[in-house]
Amino acid sequence: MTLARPTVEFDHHSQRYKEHWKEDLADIRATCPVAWTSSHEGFWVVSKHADVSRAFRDASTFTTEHREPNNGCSYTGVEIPSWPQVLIPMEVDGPVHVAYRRLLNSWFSPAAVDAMQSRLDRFVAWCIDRRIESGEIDLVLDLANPVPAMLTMEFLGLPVEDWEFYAPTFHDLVAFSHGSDEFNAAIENYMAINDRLSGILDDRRNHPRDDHLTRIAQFEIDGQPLSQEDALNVVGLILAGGVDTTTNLMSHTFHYLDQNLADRERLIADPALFDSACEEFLRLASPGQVHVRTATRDVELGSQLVKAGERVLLSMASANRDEEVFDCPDQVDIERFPNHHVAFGMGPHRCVGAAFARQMFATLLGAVLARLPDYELLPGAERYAEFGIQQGWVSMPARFTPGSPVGASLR
Amino acid sequence: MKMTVDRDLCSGHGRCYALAPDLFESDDEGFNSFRGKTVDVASDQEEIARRGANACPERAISLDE
Repeated sequence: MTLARPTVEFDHHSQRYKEHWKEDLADIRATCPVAWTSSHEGFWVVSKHADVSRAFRDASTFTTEHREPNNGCSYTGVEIPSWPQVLIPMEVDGPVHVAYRRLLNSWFSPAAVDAMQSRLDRFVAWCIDRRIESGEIDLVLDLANPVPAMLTMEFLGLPVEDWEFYAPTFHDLVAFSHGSDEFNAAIENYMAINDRLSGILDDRRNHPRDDHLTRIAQFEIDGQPLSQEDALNVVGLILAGGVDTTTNLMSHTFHYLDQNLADRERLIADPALFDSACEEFLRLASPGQVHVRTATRDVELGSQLVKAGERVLLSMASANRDEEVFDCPDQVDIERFPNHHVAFGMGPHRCVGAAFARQMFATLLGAVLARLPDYELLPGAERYAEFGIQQGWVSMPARFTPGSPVGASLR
Repeated sequence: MKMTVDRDLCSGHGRCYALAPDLFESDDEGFNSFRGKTVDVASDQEEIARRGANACPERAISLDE
């Protein structure tokens, strides 16, 4: 006898998800925590913290692997629908993944983060300086989008002054729906960025510098240098991983603190609360909403039988509100501890940039609370067209009591 | 008190050394520097050891009290 698998209506790219994700996910957690949906050629939705964590940790059973060309297999990486580029090393597993992480981990270590602090302070100060005398700022377009782009570009060895070429593209690729004019324009820009990066990688091979782009251009696995495509995919992942995700952590934070002045006052009075507050906003924002895996073998998950080759969507947005793990999960508690959210994933593919994300949170929040402590959101903040990849704001205009520039420069 | 940091479970989230820098350190790659080891915890550090163990989302730190 074959047990019918429980099915749900679920499509993370739908308007239904955008408007009702919280209650729909709560419903799935309560009634059939691992359930099948026929959307997008069919996949499992995994909603409980315990199952999501287990799948994250067991990378050999639940693989991120993405094969291009695909030849009809279902190893199509961490997104549904799959992104046409293989994101390296997120979408590789096994010894090759280990080799990449061994190279990359040290670039994102606490020491590396500390070494970036003074530059990050400058980028934040420069962005605020541009608006400080006007009394108006867009907290996303003028601050939360540019700063992560600048830091990521500086990290790689790209000229920070070019941020306006890079930042909007990574924002627009997730803010707007596939097929929309804005998305198509962002794709064209993305291809132009790839062309530019390809030229830069070639230049680094001929004229090496002491920067990460050079290290990526020169990296070898098993004695073989990376193909240009693989090198571009590594750079692409660093940009995609670093930019819009952090933007959304900050936009959720700024939005909440606009509505909750008591917590804003607490954070101004006691910056020691920033650490636990950061974890709480990571939990609630879940900048990465979902991450997908492919089952490499038949496996039981949450009382369901997942067959080899089936696609498995891990909902971080749901796991981070699991009633069995978090007391009053929909409430913001800026002192919540412990806070075992899965916003950065778990296990071998744990977000390599997590320490930089936390550093950007602390620096950006500190600067906003110091220089525009009375900021107030204006009407007209626009949400993303859909929430399938990130739940964010396209824009977030605000006003504040004007102040004075500190005279920061980008270089 | 003895403390063990599981080599396979530690994924380098860094919550331990962020919250309890007097006890925990990061290695070059961001992992807990005690990863794969069992160490003694001084009695005046037991409280922060518990806090660091509690903070770990992978539950990689176990304490033998």
